[in-house]
Amino acid sequence: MTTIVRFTFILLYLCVALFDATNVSANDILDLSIENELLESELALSQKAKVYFIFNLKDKKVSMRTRGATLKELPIVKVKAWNLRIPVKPQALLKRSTLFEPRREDIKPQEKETGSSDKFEIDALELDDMPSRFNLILADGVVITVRPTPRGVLSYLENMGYSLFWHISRPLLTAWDFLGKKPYSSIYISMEKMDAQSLYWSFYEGSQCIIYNP
Amino acid sequence: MNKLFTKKWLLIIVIPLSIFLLAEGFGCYIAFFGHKKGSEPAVNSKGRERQLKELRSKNAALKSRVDSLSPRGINIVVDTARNVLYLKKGNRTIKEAVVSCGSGNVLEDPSGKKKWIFDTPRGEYSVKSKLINPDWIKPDWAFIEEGEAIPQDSNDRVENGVLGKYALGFGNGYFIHGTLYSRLLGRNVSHGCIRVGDKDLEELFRVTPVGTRLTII
Repeated sequence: MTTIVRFTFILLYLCVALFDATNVSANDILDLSIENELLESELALSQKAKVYFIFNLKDKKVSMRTRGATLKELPIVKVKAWNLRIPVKPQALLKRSTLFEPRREDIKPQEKETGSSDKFEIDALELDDMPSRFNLILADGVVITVRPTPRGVLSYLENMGYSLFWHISRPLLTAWDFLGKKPYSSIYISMEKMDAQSLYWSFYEGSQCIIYNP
Repeated sequence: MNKLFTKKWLLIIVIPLSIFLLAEGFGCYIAFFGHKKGSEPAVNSKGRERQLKELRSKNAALKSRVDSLSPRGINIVVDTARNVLYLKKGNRTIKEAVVSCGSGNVLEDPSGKKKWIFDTPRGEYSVKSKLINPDWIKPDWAFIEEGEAIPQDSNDRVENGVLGKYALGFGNGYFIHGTLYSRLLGRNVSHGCIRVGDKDLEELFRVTPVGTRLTII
C-alpha cells in the first residue's frame, strides 16, 4: 500500500515537473519573441543619427540611446500601466504637456548691466526650470504621466490624491476613446525630481521611443 | 416632502452615479477583456525547442547588429542638462569635464527681422575642425546683444583670446572652446557653443582627431 502511495506521489511529481518544464519553455519563447521585437525596433532606430529612448518597464529605467549605445539611464521608482497592449515598435512623441511650461528669457540689450556686481544672477533656461510633473503624448494613443517621487507629508498626500484620480479616470478615458474609435493606453511613472526634469529636457517633440513591457 | 426629496436625491446623486459607474465598468471591460487574444499555436515540445533555438540565434544576431553600430574609438557625449562632457572610448567613459552649454535665451534684432535662440544644438555631430589659438569672428548677435552697431568691415569682427587656446568645430559655427568665465562652468550661459575649462580642453584637443563622433543630449 505504502509503495503504491509513494509511486503515485512520484508519478504526480514527475507530471508537475514535466508540465512546468513545457510551461517554462513557452514563457521563454514569448519573452524571447518580445525581446527580439525590441531589438528589431532598436535596430531600425539606431540606423539613424538620432537619440532615442527606451522605456523599459520591466527593469524600471528610461535609457537614452544612440546607435545602440546607452548615453544616460534614468531610474524609474514606480510604474503603473493601464490597457498597455501595444507592440514593441518605435513611437514618436507628439506632445509634452505640463501646467507650467518653462519660458525662455528674452535678452534686452538696453537693460544689460555694465557695472560689475558681486550678486550675479544667471537668466537662463536650466534643468531646475524644467517641470517634473508632465504628460508625454505618444502616437497610437499612449499617454505617459511622469510625476516626482513624493518628499514630505503634503507631497505624499498630493501624490496619493493624484494616484486615486489616475485610477478612477483611466476607465473613463478608455471608454471615451473607445467610443471615438481611438486606442488609449496609459503609463504612470514616478521618478526622482531631477530625473523627471532630465527626461523633460531631453525628450522633446519628434523624438522616438520604444516602450518595452514584456 | 419626503417624496420630493427622494426624487431630487435620485436625480442629483443616483443617476449621475449610475452613469459614472457604468462608464467605469465599460472602460474596465475594454481594458481587461476588449482585446483579441492571439491564439498560441499548438506545438509539441520538440517544435518548441526548435522555435526557441531559432529565436535564440535571431536574438544573438540582432544583438550583434545593434552592438556593431555603437562607437568603437574615442567619442564625445555632452549632457546639456547637467553641463557635463564625457570623453569616451567605445562605451567606457575615460574623462568627465564640467562645461557650459547654451542658455536657451532669445535675442531679437531691434528691427524684428531676425531672432536667435541660444541653444546648444542636440543630436549627433562630428568634429569637423581643430584650431589652435582661435580668433572669434563676432557674429551679428554679439553686437546687437552689446547694443553696438554691426560693423561693415569684417576685420572689426575679429576678437582674439576669448575662445581659449583651442577650439573644436562641429559645424554651423558651433565650437567646443575655452572660456574666460571658468566660474560659470556647470551653468547654462553660452550662446550655443560648449565652453570647457583650460585643462580639460587641452586634453580633449590632444586626444580627439577630426571626425570624432560628438553626441549632444
